[in-house]
Amino acid sequence: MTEENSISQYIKAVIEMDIEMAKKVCEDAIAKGMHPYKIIQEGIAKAANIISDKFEAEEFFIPELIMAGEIIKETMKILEPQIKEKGDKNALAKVIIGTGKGDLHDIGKNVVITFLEAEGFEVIDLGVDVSSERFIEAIRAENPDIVAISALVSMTLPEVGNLMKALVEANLRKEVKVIVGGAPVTEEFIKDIGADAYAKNAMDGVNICMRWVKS
Amino acid sequence: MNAKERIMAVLRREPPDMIPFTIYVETKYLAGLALYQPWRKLLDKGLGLHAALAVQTHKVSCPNTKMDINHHYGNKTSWSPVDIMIAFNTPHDITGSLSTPRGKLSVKAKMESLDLSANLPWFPEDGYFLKTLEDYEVLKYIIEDTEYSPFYDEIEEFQMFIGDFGIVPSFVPKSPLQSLIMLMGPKRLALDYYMHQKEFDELYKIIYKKELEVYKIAAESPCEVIWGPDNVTSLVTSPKFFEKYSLPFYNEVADIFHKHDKLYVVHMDGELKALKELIAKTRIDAIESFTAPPVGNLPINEAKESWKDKVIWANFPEPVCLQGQKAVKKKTLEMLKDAAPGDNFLMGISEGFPSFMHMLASIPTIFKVILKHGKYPISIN
Repeated sequence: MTEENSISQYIKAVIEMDIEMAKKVCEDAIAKGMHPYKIIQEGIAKAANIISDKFEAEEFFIPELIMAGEIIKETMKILEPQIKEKGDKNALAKVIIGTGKGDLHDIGKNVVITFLEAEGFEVIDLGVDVSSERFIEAIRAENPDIVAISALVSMTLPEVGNLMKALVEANLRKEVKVIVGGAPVTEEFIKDIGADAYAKNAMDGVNICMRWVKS
Repeated sequence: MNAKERIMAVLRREPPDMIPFTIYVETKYLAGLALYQPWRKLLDKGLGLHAALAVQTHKVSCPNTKMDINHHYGNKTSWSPVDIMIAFNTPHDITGSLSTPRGKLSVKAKMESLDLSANLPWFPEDGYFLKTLEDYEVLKYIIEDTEYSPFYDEIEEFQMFIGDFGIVPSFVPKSPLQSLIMLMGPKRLALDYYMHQKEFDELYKIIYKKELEVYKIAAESPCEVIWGPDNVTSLVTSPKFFEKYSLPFYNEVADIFHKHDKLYVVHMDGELKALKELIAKTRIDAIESFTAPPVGNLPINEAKESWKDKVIWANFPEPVCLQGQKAVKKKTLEMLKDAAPGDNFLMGISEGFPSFMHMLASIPTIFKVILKHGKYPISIN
């Protein structure tokens, strides 16, 4: 099988949610000497784009995003030892992510993390129910380019507004781009609190982050 | 018409005198509504009560399963819903274990407050009983071990309390697919559906069969309305899942309910645009907690066009209240306009507001707009 065939097979396996096939194609390709970055750039990144397009087109939904994320995660486990052997890859940008205070829902956040990592971002996951103080501490310690906040319940929205105020008070607002996603979040809300972008879903969030690093 | 007559008229697809507007009784204690003057005035003017989560028409037991479920809050421990209501806005933990001869299942979850949307299926992974493939056998045992028996006493008692202010449906368990989501969470649902379909489908069939028993008990109860707390959103219940799992169940139980002259109302509060054709194929009577944009993604007029035979019980999209009462008023008018002339249409509050104060301010605003512009048939320019 040529390298191009292996890449096509891999993408097909991800789209068909066939984790065993994806892992096998990846292992075979590595065994035949394919460079792991080629699998990441031409296989994983392209598969992630197709998944994103299908999600946008409402052909795929959260179950498919979760499953595709799992396949990519398992593929990365196969590739990581190879990448370490061949030297570290520079991250596109650093993202700090967490759900707002009072919000314990982490599915959306975790999907975003998987796809950000697949695209080459370094992601610091602060977990769920993250206070403004913890976000500020982490921003000071990690010096990220982007702060991503997930809010699935309405009562978390005022806390997201508090975080924006805390960023200004800590003189950190100009240091980071802020993106907020979650069911109750609206464009108007983003405008009101002074954040930079509203992610209408996980893939939209990843695409916005990609646009920021490219601009 | 009083509030009860108005709600029932619309659910039966008959014209009301005005668009009914309801709040869940669980939104605030019933006694509080009666004692707090501004709310009492709203009730007298026709604000309706929907006791969605108040009464079940069955009792449940699992004779061979030892259940130990606790809510811990502050220095107290209880699994009583009343205690949890008292602990409103107090962070608490839930721990639980189910022990059977085939093994043990456990949960551990944290709740920051009694936010009904947080209550449902979005706990961290430890918050679900089904965590491993081995847990399937234990869960199958528990479901088969479950015995349901009719319990109709509370319906009449609660309807007596509510009187003409509203309705008391029978609150049935979530439909089998939504129950599975509650048992395993959206992540495991996705992974097991794609990686362990045999086990997934076997468990599904067992839940389906068992739930028919409890839905039949509700069908034979004295209540007029059956309410299914399904929290459907296409994000998790994708069209593929809905068509394969939800649609057959909804239609089988809808036929059972209709044979007993019951109305079948299902709580679908998420994104429904991708499901609109499939929902149209169900024989459900009313889509309750239907949430229009900006929270949901299906506009009211598009839903009405797709579901001509169904009642839409629209939830007010609560984040709008963060923009102030002018925005609340504007959104209410927009919803009424979208629903005009208002056939088969109710409005309600069925999700959590950002805070209790937001709710206190917004409900009177919404209701005043409905009193002024919501006379049937609606004519707003």
